[in-house]
Amino acid sequence: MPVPDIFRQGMRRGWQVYDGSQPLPALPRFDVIIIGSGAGGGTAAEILALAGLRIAIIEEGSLKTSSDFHNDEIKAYTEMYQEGALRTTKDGSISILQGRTVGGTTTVNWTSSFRTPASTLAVWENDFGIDYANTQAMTPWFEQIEQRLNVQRWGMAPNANNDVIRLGCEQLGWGWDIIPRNVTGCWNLGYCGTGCPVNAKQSMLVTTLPTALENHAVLIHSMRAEKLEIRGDKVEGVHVRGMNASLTLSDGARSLLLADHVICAGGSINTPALLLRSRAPDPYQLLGSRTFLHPVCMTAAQFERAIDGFYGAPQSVYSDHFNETPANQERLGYKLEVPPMQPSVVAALLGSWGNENWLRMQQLGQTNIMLALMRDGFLPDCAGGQVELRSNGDATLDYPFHLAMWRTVREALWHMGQIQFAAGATKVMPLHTSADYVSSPQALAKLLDQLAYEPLRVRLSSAHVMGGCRMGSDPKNSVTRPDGRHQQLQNCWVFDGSIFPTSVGANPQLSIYAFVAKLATDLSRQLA
Amino acid sequence: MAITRRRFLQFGVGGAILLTTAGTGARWFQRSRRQALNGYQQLRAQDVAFLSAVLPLIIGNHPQFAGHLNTTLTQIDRLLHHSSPTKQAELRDLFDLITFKATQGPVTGYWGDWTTAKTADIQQFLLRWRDSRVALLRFGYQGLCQLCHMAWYGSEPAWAAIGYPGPPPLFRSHT
Repeated sequence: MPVPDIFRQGMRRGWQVYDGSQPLPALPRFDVIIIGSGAGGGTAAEILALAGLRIAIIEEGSLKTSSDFHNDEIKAYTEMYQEGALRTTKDGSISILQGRTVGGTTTVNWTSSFRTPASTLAVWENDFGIDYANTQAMTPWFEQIEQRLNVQRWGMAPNANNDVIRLGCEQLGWGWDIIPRNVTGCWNLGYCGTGCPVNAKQSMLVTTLPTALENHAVLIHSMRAEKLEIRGDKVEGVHVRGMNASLTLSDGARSLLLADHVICAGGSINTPALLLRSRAPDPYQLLGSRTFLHPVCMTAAQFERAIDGFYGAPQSVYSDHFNETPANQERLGYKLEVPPMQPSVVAALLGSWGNENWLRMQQLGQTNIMLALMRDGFLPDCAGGQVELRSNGDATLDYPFHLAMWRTVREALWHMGQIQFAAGATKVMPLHTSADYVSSPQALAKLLDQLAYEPLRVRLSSAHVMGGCRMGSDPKNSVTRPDGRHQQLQNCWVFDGSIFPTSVGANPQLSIYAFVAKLATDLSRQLA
Repeated sequence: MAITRRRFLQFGVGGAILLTTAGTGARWFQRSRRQALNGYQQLRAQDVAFLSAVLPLIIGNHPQFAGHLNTTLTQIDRLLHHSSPTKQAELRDLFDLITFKATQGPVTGYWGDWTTAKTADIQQFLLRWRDSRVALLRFGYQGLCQLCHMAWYGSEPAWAAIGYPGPPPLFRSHT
């Protein structure tokens, strides 16, 4: 083991960590139960535990720590992602990558740490009445988290996969910049998505959760919160049930855990689903609506030089050249980044079959993929998706694509291809079932004219799920209040990305940390 | 005539209805065949037979693949086993449509036995689904190919031939 496994060491020192698939000891009534151990739950756990409150953290994923991380894609996808990384929207058209492990998505994300764009905060303040959603009020919270998680602009040279954005944008005179990352002593390996084997990534797994556990928090993993016990306008406790070994369903022992306050922090899709299963009051039928994805479309490019995008910090360069939502409202803004290029996920993205796929895969080391993440939720007809329950109680997201999105897809594919050609690509291919590589911008333009822009033809994915329990000052137009409390339930709080009223317009982890740090601090003062 | 009728069933409004009814029917009739095959957690005998027939074509001329069909099937099984009841059911329904006698022909365009299908038959089937106007079939195409590609290229024997040196040896699992 190259580095100490600080989590296992803490457990040996006596942290109260329990496996929910095994019999539990008798547990006391808690001051606060936090459901979910990701960006929201982890941040809240540290703040509330340090305030001296007795807390329990429930996590449906299992406990995997640095000594379990072997940079093995299939192992990581099956063990640490929602639905084994096969989660999609209801019609199967958008793949969704979301974490399902102790630390949530922060354990497997690619470390990009952006502050919430000022233009996004302005919409939250002006249209949803969240009075602290502005740069002045939020800056201290961003600074606090940036310090806590060591967020800094990436100091090493970007890998060649990221450098395509810099080179191309410089050629075209378009803006680009270096991505701030939450890492300490990063080895620049490139395997953030399979769990950091050297504990360099400052995920919840190695930061806030250890602090909470040192301060007497109880963590129960492999345990699903099935339902809140609601009486009148109060939550009395949480019905939990142990998960099976493959984490596909909760079929273990049942318990009812009791607490004075409950914080829902299972992330978008899962938090609204928990409230739906619990039949939480929803007088205006808003629960689960306005769920956003930053839908992503992609282009692949082949180069004559080595790209080797499977190694090195997965995301270090971005471009916001097209990221503001324009006033004419015919398209969405989008942020340009690249994904890591490990072979399992890349083979699925490059598409086709047989020798066409094989020829594409043979060029893996010379291939760059660029992605445009679309800023959904800012146009009047861009209302995102709706979380629904399947017959077995599992969540699914119905997410329709509207005309402005397809228009944006087409434009983004064109701009990404231009960047790739400008950076020296010999061939570019939009990720679309009917597309192959083309050798010039002219040929790309022609190809983009011919393609059909429809679900399950354009390859779409998402790594950012937001909304579904949106905050707001108007109870008729919000699930939660600006302080994160459920509009109708007196002691139920939502502290995760599902409180955002639109998408963020940037990778959301730092937005979740900062908002939850503020809300949990306010709550701790109230409860202390 | 028969072909015209089949094409109508696939592309017309009736297509989706056919799929739904056929899917339900297939589920009903295949209850006896729903046990996972020995050595697998999810894949049933008919799934393994079908996948074994199409995998070599979906993967293409990768020089190492021939000796690793079983590795890939195991990886597919592992991906499904850890997904969710919903995803498992979606894939089972898909394999039922593809392998159940009453639905296979109209839905895939191939009426014979998958284990003796010719390359051209499988090519036709994949093209038909890729370009279908029925979103469910396009989903089937994408799901099938993605699963096969993820499983194979997530396996170490696939890496040398594509110039992927693999994760740094220091961190590899030694179990």
